[in-house]
Amino acid sequence: MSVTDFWTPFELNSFLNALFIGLSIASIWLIAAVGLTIIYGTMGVINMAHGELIMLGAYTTYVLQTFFYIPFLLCLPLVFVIVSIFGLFIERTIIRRLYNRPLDTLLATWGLSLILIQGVRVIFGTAPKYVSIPGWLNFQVSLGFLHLPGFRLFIILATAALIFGTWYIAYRTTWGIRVRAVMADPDMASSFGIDSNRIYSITFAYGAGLAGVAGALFGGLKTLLPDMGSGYIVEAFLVVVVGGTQLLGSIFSSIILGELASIFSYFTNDTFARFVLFTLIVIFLRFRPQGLITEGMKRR
Amino acid sequence: MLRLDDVTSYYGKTPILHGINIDLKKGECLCVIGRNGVGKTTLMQTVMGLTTRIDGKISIDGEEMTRRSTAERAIAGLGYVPQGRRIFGKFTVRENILLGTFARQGIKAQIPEICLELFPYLRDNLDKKAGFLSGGQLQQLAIARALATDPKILLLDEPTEGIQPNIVEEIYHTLVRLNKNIGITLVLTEQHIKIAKSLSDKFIIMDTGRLVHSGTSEELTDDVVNTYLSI
Repeated sequence: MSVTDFWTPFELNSFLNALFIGLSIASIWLIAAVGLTIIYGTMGVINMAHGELIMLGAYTTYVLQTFFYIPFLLCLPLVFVIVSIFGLFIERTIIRRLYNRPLDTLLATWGLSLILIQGVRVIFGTAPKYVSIPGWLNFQVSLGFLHLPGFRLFIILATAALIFGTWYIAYRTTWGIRVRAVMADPDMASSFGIDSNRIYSITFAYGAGLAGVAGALFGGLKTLLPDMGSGYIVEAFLVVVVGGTQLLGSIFSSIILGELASIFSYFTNDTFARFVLFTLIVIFLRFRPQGLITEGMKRR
Repeated sequence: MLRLDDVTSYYGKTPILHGINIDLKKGECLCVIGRNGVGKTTLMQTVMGLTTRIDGKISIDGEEMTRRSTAERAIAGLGYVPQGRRIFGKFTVRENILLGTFARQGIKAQIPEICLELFPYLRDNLDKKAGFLSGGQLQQLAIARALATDPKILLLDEPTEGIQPNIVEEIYHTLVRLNKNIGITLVLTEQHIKIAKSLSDKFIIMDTGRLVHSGTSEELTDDVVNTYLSI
């Protein structure tokens, strides 16, 4: 194999297309990671079952579409509610008993992920399932050299909307003040009448709901399989770790990682791009283990 | 108003306070005195429900609080100004005060006028990040935040610690007003004996987690100070 077989020479139009694909990858990684970021940032819980919450979102969409004939757009809020309720149930029954025991939480949520995979396998079988996206999203925007698939654009916009909504709740509502106070200093927050356990429950449910919506959107991109969650969880964790467990950090890290992945793929191939990306992340974390943006609240 | 009956408090399995008894009437001011590390802050945290375990009984207005959570105690009327203030530095002044209002059940989150009337500086800097305030301003914010909870009883842990003298005087006058004019019951730990004596109705002296002496402020004489507080 010659170098030219491995290395794609630079060509402006293709490179700009790769940048758009990078943005698309970033939006997918970000939407997969945002729930994880919120749950880890608020509660310090590393939820190993996050990928399976994404999978549940995808399968819930499939069920709503196939058996209840609910249109895709209406599925999104319904999936959010359904997976949130499931998240609330998990928090109340499992996570709550394991606060301040990170290793136990890790193990318990990993066990939960296996149960969910097997449960879905038992109910739906191993054959792939599909989420159908509305016809009006099956378009392609061609801007000269740029070719933007409609559904990818939709995911970018949906991600932006979810991030904006999450930011608005966190920084523009009294509920957000409560959550940020619990994140920064739970003892002091409770001395103002804030029930930390309630905040944790609702935050976990919200994070789970976001994972569900991510699953619904991913269902439009790929086939549904019981173990599909594991395909997203690695990237989601990378985004959270590189970002520093803050929402803003996750936004930056997903854009940087998505673009790097796409650019390396453009010049080489997907496999080598992953190798370079993971190597760069290891080097980055060696020098900045706290991630891009550190904990936003400082105790005085 | 506030009653502690034979309260023993633990961090983990280790008892830190031993058999504390306090009976405070509405509108009174109690000063907790003692050298560093004798358990004054633990007493405050115990009343607030921030220690691991409590034996004995704590009640507010006759209502037992011993097994209640910190949040429930705040809602029941306990306001808390902790040592070191523990202000949320990345929050704005407005957000810090709004936090206090969450203890008022069923009322729209709105900054009570008294918080800004007592500390005009805060009114002019509501949108400033609290992390940029000076030590004295932070203490004012901590008191305003606790007042926003609409407390019946205000616990103040070293409210004048590390603050420049003119602000200490301002805080002293504020506490007098809160106690004597508005009628809020105060419990404070204080290193300055002069302030303790002029502000409080009663005092207790603590040593190694035990209450070793108590009396009215008139009884806080130099002899008592020399006996219990000299190093």
